Amino acid sequence: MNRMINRERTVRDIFLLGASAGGIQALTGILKRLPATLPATVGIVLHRSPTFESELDRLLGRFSALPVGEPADGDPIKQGQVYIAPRDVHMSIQDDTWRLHRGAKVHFSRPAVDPLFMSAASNRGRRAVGVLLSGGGSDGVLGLLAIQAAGGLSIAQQPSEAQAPSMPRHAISEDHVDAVLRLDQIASLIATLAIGEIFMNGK
Amino acid sequence: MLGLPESLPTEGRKAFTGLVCPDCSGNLVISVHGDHISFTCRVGHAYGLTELVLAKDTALEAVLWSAVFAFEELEALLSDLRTHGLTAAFDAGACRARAELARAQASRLRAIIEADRTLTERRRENGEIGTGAP
Repeated sequence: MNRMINRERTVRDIFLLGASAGGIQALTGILKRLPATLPATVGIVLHRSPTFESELDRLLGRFSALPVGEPADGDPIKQGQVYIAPRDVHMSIQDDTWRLHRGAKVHFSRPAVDPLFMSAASNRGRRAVGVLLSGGGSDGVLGLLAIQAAGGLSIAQQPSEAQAPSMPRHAISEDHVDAVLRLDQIASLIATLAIGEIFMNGK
Repeated sequence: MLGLPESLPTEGRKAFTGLVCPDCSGNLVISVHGDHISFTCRVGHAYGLTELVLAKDTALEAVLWSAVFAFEELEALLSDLRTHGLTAAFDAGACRARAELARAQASRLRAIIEADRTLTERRRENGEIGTGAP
């Protein structure tokens, strides 16, 4: 495991967070620590019910200094914003816009993490950082591999800290992630990489 | 063809509906228990009113995917028959036209799925009484 992450000082300005069960706690643990001046975009997929309206954006927004919202299809991707995938559609990146697509469910889920991670890999390459948080199953595992293959970074939440450790465990055993971090470390990694600095993965 | 019976059963009584169970396709029976409306099938699957509507709405997608699959499978079969020179039983032009139509129909169905929007349960104000909601 690398002690120094982003040794080459690449500016990484799009952070993709994927989560399922236990995800709200994990996401709030990161969002509440992000600075309001973050020069980067945060995109979130949380597995959610397709048939019940929930105000996830408002809920997460209460913990975030950055504005949190659900994009509409074709909305421009802006910095200093947190975007969360709406219910019943996959959210992906195409050039400089968000695309919402009601395609086949992926790992029983729509939205799912893999379509977001895959599109970030092919559209943002080295600038993308994928983070797999608390959740069951293996959604996001292929997506993290794609991000890594495109020169981006892959991060898994410390499983012992996750309410549902299956997703980060799959990522660690099958993806050879660049780092396994606690929520507070993930938040400081985001702030550090967004300005192209080196993150020290100390104990 | 009716969905619900013309008149709802009285308290504690049961009536057949024109609906089938989302889980096993068995006949659904409706019963009313105060403010709660319940649907059950022979084997014991049970739904509240809201749950039944949402289950029916969600099940539509699976049916459409089955149709997409059937068209795309037919197209693949006909194309492969051509590749292997096994289309002697059919007119070659008709065979190609059928494969192309099947592909076009599949993409129409995909567009229908893409454009479809399921119903969601209405947000309730505090103290509002619901019927059959989970």
